[in-house]
Amino acid sequence: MKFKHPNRSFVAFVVIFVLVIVIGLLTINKPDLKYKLSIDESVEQLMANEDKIYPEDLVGIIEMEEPGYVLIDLRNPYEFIKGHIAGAINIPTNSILSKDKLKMFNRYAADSTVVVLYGQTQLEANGPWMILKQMGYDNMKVLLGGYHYFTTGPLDFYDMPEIPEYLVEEPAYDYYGIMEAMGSKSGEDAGAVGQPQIVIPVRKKKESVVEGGC
Amino acid sequence: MNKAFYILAVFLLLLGTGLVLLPDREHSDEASPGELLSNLRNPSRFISTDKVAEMIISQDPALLLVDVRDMYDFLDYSLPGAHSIPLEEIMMYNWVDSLSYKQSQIVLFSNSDILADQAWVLLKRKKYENIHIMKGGLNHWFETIIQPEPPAETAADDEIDRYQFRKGASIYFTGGAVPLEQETSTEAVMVKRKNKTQLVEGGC
Repeated sequence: MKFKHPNRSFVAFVVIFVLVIVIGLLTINKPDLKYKLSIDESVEQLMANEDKIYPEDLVGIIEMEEPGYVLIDLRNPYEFIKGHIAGAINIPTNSILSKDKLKMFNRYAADSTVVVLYGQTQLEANGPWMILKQMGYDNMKVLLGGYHYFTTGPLDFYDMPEIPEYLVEEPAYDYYGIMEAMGSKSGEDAGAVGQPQIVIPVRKKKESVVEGGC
Repeated sequence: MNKAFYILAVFLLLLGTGLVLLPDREHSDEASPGELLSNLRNPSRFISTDKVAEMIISQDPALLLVDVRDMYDFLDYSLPGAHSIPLEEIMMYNWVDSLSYKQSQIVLFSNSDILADQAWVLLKRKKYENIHIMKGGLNHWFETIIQPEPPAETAADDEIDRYQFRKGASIYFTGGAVPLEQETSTEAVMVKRKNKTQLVEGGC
């Protein structure tokens, strides 16, 4: 056998080698980001539908300088510089999971500050909000309508139509009605202007009994 | 026997017990929050209403339309051939058959794109592939496909082409009858027979 007399330094080397590998395996690939909510819990939480901030309410919050709220702008820095809601902090979507930002979110969670996320539209904030929510940050809310509505839409409660524009999931049209109307209209048209009528010539019956012939 | 072998054996045993005592590694059947976040930035997660219309009309066998609104909305109106899987039940549904099939293209839609996006994030966390969101949802579908706005006369050619496609698609989806724009003036052909004037006509 080759290893009949392994010397001490060889054993020490093997031991250190194995140790390094084990420690490497334990530390590498260790996901430091984890979900706190299971899929089913997050579906439940979605259905509860509680994490919405209405733009008209946000106006009040900003004006009254209510404590316990912080605004996070998820758009990129260029858009942020061009204009943002007063008092907002810029955290672009792709950096919300960086270490220092998570530390910040942890701090907000600890003193139960409500974090209002907004993007250009509600859709932009939806994904980040869901991820943070599933990671256990319960204090996350989404601004309905996003920055776009906040800067363009009517914010006075009395100016708003019955279904404000920011409730994007409301059907904007009467789908069934439109389909009915368009379907039947084109049906009638087809009968009226459709194909040219086929004229069948009526043959005149011969009346006389006796006709000359060969 | 050499003492070193004993030391090595004991050491390996210790390591083995150590491994047994290690906490279970998170099962990786879920995408981590980081992966999910980077998936969010992938533009291919959206599919345009034009593309969906094209796929429906060409009867693409890979297309699986999923309406994530609730049942009542689905019964009122939905896209032709769509399946109704409300957001609430999206994880209860037996997706394995339809989703694991890698070639299929799953298109989620709702009235806008928020509900569809929420369903998308949930399914993406479970690492499903080939899921898309119909951009703008049914509201946008009615604006673009069912009731398309004619482009300005100075519009670029492809814009006019797109309008032509949308108008054709609108006819396809609303009933199939072609509204004739200019009346084709085909005159009815009348066959006129000459009246016989005489009762008895001579032959030969």
